[in-house]
Amino acid sequence: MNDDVRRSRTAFLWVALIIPLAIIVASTAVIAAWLPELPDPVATHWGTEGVNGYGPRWSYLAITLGIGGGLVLVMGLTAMHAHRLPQSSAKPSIGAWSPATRFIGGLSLGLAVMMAFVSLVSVQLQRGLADAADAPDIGIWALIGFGLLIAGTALGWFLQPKSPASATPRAERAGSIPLAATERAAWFGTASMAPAGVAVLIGALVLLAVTTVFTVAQGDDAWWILASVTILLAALIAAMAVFRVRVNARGLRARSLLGWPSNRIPLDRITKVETVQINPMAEFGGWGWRLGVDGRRGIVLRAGEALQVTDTRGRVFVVTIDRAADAAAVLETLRTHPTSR
Amino acid sequence: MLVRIDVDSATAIFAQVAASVRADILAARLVPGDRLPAAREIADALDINVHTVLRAYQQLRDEGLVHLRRGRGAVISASAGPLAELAHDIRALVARAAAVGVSPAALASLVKETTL
Repeated sequence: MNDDVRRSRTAFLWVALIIPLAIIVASTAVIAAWLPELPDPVATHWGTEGVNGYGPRWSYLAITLGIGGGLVLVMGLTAMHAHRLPQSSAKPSIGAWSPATRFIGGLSLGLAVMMAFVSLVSVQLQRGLADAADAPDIGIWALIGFGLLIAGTALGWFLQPKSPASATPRAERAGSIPLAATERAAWFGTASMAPAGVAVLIGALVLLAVTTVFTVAQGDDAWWILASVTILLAALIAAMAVFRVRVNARGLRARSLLGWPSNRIPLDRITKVETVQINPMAEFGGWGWRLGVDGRRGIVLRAGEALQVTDTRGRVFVVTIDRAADAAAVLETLRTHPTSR
Repeated sequence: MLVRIDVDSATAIFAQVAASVRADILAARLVPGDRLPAAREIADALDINVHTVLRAYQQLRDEGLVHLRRGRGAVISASAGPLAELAHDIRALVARAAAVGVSPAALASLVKETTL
């Protein structure tokens, strides 16, 4: 880790974790102090006709600390450790920092400011009320909260230094294997998500599920939207966790254990085979089936070595597999020995 | 895992598939606990019969190199682990045999007939 990365990392620690958590904790403390003055139940949701959702007095403590604090922690810790998630092949981690991480740092601050503001306003407006149904509309305050989200994110972005250029090693051309004209060869591999990546996704899923349960308990009309998102996310995680990768005379195929998504690149459309080192957060903004910031697409499940294939249309596909050099050599050999098909 | 076959070879295809797996175990590219691709997956990838692959897997099981379990497929067994340690000795022996004019086939027979 060089000085630039260390500086970015320290700035991120403050902008994405320490300051947002302090804001969340401080606003939770204020809400706790105001708790005795609140009606029971309190208004927790407003519709076009005024208050339409209620919860117990401590609802705002749970929302602010649980959801606000939870989001900040998940985003901050994930982004901070993303570049050094373990990879199964024992290669050194890539000490890089990226604009994606910097943005998440800003977003974390923005979210904390918005959550704290909206919660504080909602509680402040209900202090001294006998019945929460009399609580005034918060529409305008919610709008201001949204403005604060954008302003806080921007502030958080500019509070951090410019991301240092990542020293990603260059792509390496594939080798080859000896293969007679009458021989057929097939290579099989598995791309699976790093355990830490799985933990993060499950954590996010749990957070979303808890939020869904909370929404359902409140009787919010829109609960099914959140429930659908939760189910969709669970299905996506299941589909993205493990991919079977195959190289043979027909080309490259990477298919999820569930059968979808599946990618095939026919051998005669492949123009270049390489191995690269992948940094998921910096280059692809996360894990799973990904579109990269530089236009590459593919299956990015952990940091480290990956097979990279360019097709005749210039599209680049990557898949993070162990022994990527072996796969690349087989693919390159099949590609350049038409007789072996 | 790399599987290679030569349809023009005198060696049976199932034996070539088994040899591919053995070679990967010897090179420690496959280690105990690793799961082999499904037989129909290999058969499809190489345009060979699925029973040919199953026969190769059965031979590997008879040699104690893989476990075959219903639903779990073929898994490299613990007893396959020490094989990688022999890789160096096997190479040295084959090289020495070749140097004195003993063919690999004759050497294999001699190894088979050697009792300790």
